[in-house]
Amino acid sequence: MPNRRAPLEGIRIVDFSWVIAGPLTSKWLALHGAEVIKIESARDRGDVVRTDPGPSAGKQGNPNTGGAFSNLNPNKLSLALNMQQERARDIVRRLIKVSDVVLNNFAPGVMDKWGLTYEEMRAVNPSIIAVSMPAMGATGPRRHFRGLGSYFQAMAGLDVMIGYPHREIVDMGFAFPDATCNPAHAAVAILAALRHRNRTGEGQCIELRQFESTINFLGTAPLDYSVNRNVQMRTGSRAGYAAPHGVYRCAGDDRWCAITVLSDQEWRSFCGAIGHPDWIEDPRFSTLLARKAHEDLLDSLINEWTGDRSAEVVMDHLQAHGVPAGVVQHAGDLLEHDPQIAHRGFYVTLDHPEGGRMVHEGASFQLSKTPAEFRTPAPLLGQHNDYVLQTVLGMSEEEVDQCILDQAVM
Amino acid sequence: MTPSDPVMPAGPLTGLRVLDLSESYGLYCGKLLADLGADVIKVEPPAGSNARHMPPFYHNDASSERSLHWFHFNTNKRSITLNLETADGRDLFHRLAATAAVVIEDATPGTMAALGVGYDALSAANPRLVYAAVTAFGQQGPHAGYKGSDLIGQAMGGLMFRIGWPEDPPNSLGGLQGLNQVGSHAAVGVMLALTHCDATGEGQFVDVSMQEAIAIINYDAMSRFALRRQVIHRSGPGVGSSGIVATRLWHCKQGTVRFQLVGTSVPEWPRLVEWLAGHSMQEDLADEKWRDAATRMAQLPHIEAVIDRFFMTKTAHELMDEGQARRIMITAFNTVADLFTEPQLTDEGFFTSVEHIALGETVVYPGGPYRFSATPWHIRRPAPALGEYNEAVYVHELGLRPDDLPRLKAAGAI
Repeated sequence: MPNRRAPLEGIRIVDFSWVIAGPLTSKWLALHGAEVIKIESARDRGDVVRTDPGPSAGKQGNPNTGGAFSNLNPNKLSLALNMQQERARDIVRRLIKVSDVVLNNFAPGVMDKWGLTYEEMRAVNPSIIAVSMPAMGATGPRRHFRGLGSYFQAMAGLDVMIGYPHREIVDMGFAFPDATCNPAHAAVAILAALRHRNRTGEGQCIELRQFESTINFLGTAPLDYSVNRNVQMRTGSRAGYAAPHGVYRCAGDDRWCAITVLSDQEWRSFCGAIGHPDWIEDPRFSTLLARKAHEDLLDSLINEWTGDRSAEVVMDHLQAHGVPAGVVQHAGDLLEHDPQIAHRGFYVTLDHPEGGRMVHEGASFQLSKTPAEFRTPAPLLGQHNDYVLQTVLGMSEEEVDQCILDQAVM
Repeated sequence: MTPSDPVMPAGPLTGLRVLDLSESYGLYCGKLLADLGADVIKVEPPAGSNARHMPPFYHNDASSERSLHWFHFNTNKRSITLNLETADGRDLFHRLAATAAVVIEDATPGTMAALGVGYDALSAANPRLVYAAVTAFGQQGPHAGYKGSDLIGQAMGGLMFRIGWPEDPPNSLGGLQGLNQVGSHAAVGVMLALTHCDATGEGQFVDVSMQEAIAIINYDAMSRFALRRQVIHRSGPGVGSSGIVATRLWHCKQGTVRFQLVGTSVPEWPRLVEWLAGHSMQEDLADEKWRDAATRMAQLPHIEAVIDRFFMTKTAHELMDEGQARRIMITAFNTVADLFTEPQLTDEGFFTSVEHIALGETVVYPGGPYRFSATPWHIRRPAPALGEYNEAVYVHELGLRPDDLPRLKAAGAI
């Protein structure tokens, strides 16, 4: 691979974002060449994900070894500041002057409190692109609503669309929008704004309201209500437009295969594949309408076939016959067994100075000439203080020492 | 809002020409670009895209200009018809691709190349071209030819395994999350490639996998397995991936709320008690002993019962409004219907009206995912009718003669 310039080489991002959504946005940008400077709070031990006691927790008490933090923050730099200090805010203003994008996912008011409204940032750098990701918005009757991502996901109407109809609403166990709509929309927005700025010199302020961003991931539900007054609710794994369509139990403990037969052609192939060519013309199953009318029976018959076979065998066999089928995989399957994931090199392991061997997800979008490049592991807290202050901002050692004495910098 | 509203500033992608051949995985990518101002030309076979037959339908009318799936994914796009199975059609496509910045397709890997209209062929004439191929598993590899679907993506991507009750099969998510996720990732990839092209004049191929787009959703499960070789299993409601029973479903007089009693912070507990006390429903919760979190944990059922009794006297929205006013974390589980009367949306201009001339009415659409101060998102026109822009594109832009069109149509090329 010739040594090409990365797409975002020369782009500098001042990244106040923390937890998941913001960091995932800037991860993709960092993987494609942007210099992403994480502004972390020295007093609070940095991005809260560093010390998250959840499933990906690292070594007790060490803010540099968490799995999620590592995965989300390769290639980035860490500047540990105490934003209560005016000196720290001055550093940030100087940084904004030589940067292209400022990103944050704080509640409304936090940046304002630090003298970093869009107007104030623009006074320092007229073409700055300022991106915020508040839950509800900087304005509006609910702007002060409090909650975690999962609270706003519930309010956005997504949770009622998950799971089986005979069940109550099920908690997903994590904030879905933070790993889906929010970072993807934010990344598109930033890149679109950069394109506009490159053509016109004009920066701007972008507000991604997480509530609104999530509503954009409800598929056809909003229009279905708008014109039909139909409220889409959870349907399990069934679909109104196809049968068979669901997950089927396979051999082994908690092993399942998803099967979706989406056309009459696929139905014929499916019947041949599972040794039931008689079903093709069987009046109970020969049309989609008939299959929907007898869906419980059909599903139980299919479960009889799949129940003796491993999920992988079911998938491979059906796919060989042109029928969409896929194993219901878990993280272990993805990391250690899935041959396609392995072929694409999706997981990248880096050596982290304190965490040891850490696994990272790559980008699902592989650019042929300028693919994602993992250069450095997630930063230690404040690891790049000297680089940012001295190399980027041109401060002398004496100035840096003064910042530390003033407790502006960790 | 009329299609050419002179007051509305243009989107940030104005002037970007995109050829969108998507049927499923690439649809949302084209929509994101179109809604930001790009000129996205939907290239359909003469009989129309299969997506035009996807439910739900406007007033349950399944004719080809009534699919809400089509309406949703193709806002702002222009439609032309073109048959890639014919030599004339492929020739037209080559000519169009020479004028385009981006091509999006989601065909089975190898299909486009076999027809002579893949990336290699098109980029030879247009080295600046960004060509995004959006598939279930990617272009190469042992599963590259495997068929996918939204559900297959959710399964193979590891999303379903951990969602729901342990005694149930794995749960899936409604709302086309597989298509949304891969389409949005494709858009990020396209924009990165365009950024590179702007700087260097060089286009490239963007290979997008739905499976991988979905796999990143489970970042915590991935790290847990990588660090500890532990799998996160389905554990029913209220048990987060940390294993702590953090939430449960709270029923109200009407609806349900998201509320967390376990882990209630030190400042929040007194506010919660005050709230109940304001309605004389605190029972014994004002006792000093309950200020200690460990004590609360040890007698959780009692506290839950007191709160349940209070919650059952109010609707989910009343509880949300009152609780939030007291700075307590609580939200209602809304349905999509609730969104249309949600003041944070209606007061803030989220919804937008789009005129559907063919339907003879104006339809209320949800707004976009972001608000740009200088180059706003907006819907300039609804999803196009089949071939609606054949003349505009072929004659006025590509330079064909008007009488070429009936000839090409008769030959089955368009």
